[in-house]
Amino acid sequence: MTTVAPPEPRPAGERRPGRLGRLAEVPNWVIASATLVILLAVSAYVRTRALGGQFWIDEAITTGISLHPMSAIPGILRHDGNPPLYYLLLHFWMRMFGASESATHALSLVFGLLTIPVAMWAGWSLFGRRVGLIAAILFAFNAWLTTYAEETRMYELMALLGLIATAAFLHGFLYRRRRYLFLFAVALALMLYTHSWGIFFFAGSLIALIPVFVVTDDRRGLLRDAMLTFFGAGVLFIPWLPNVIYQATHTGAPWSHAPGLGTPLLISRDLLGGDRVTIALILGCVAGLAALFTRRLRRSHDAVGLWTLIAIAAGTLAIAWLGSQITPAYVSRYFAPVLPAILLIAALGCARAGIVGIAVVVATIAFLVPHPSQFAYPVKSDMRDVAGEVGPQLHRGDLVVVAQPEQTPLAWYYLPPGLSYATSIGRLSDPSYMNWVDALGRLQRADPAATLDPMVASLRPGQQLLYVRPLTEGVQNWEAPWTRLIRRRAAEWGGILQSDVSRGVLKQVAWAPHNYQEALFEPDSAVLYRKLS
Amino acid sequence: MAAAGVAALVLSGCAGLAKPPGGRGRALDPRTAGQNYFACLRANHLQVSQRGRVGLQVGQPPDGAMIVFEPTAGIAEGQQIEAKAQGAEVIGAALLYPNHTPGSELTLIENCLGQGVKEPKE
Repeated sequence: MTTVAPPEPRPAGERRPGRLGRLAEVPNWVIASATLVILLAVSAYVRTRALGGQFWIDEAITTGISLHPMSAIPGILRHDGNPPLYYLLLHFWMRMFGASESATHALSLVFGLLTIPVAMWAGWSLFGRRVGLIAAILFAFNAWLTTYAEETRMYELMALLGLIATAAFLHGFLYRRRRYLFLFAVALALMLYTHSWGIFFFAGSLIALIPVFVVTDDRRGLLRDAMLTFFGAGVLFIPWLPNVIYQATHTGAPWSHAPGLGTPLLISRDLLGGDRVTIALILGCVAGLAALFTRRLRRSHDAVGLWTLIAIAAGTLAIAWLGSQITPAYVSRYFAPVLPAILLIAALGCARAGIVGIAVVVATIAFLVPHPSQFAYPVKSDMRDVAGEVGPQLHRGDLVVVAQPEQTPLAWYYLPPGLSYATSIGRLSDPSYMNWVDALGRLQRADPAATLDPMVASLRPGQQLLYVRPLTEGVQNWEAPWTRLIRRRAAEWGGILQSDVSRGVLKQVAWAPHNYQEALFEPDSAVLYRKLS
Repeated sequence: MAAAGVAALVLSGCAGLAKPPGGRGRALDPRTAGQNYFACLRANHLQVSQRGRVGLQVGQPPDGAMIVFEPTAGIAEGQQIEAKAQGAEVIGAALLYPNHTPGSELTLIENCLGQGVKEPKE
């Protein structure tokens, strides 16, 4: 029945020399508790350096959707492209704690901090105590988790669920502790309900059955369990499946490209925190894991666990990469499902690498902790600044025109209430979310003059129009079909408004921002016009 | 020894003394220095001509696209923020006024102007 022998109290290859060896005499609960308290405290400090930082597009859309009544959220998400779990959780969270930036970021912080004890459990229960301790440290000081702990998005929840699913997969399929299969199925279903990359993880996990299948002495039982588990997760997802099909055929991510071959760079820079951390972790992995590729150890407990983790991460990324050639959805913030497998591999490597591994772990901490703000971004956009400047000059009924439609929820979040909204596609009845359904086609069909002229004509003399348009810094962000057209439309609409000023229809009243902080994602400028005649 | 000294003087640039040190400045044309946008547009078979010291006209005015190069990308961005270039796309230090340029042609122009543009921090 057993595929691979479960870990012994002191697994092969896990050395305990010197000072660390004495830790064996300390009760496990003392070590675990003390380590967790310290790690949680330090990580919480590091991950709150930009807790009140301003939203960018995605966060405002997420908050806007989640502010709707619970029963309306699934319907709105048909226009957005994401599954509902995180939005529903955020909905209840905001009922308790409010909808401020820091309040909503705190939900992600909670999920991010929870990965630390779960990582300790995962590493410890799969590969032994030292791996558990190192895994907790790596999760506590990971750059990606630090960044997205301060982002009102589902990524931290996805990483937490991915960690649970990854650990449960190894327990259930590799070590044949079948009670974990239920945990895996539930975690997998929750991932499917959290983010579209849950589907890629589903496929990646299927691929990861291959190394397990190769070594198992109970292939029939493994296949039966796999069918039941994956089928169970799939059945749980059926209620949302029609929405996925609708979203896949109508929404997509027109702002994104088909990915190239830069995945290693994305993993190094965004997941691990840059070259230094990556090199250190590679060093630890080479030192600790090289022996597992030898003939003597290649079927050992640790070796098969390693191959399974590699298969989960590589399989998920490969499927996502291939899928994104058709419908692009390949950015590093979506990599949450593969992060746990990568960090568990690193923890296993460092734990087996003796003093080298300890040095790597210390270096990883040293790269992050002295500069806790390096992965925290307080200025993701400048909309709060823009709204702060022009907001006091706006009156109820004034029209806000946003050239980049997906920035509208951001403007709505920061501008005063009582305004009406339009985008370069047309008028909006609900500016709190972005309708991505056939967005590119609708934007292409929206002739600038035919769309804008009636809006200006509808204003009474004295009423105002605030034109918000993106600052098109750089080139990479503006090469996708959607963003390229946005940049053009923004200029075309700006040109029409300028000609209205020249003709004496509008008068320019104000512009913003006067103090532009270089923002991380697609910042904006705004010009306020008053209708004259 | 003397011959060696004379040779050294000549090689070290004594001959250059014939030309006075002033007047060696050379203006950099933003259209052709560094990234040669002018050549790029021509290589894409676009009808392009130079306008003034820092401008390019693609096609015929008033329908053709007009490009103006600001001294820095920050100044171009400032032009947009202060609503002094409302009808322009900002691409690096360039202000691109599309006017009535067809989309396919505009893509070629945008691609040329995007060459060498520094990405914002991310």
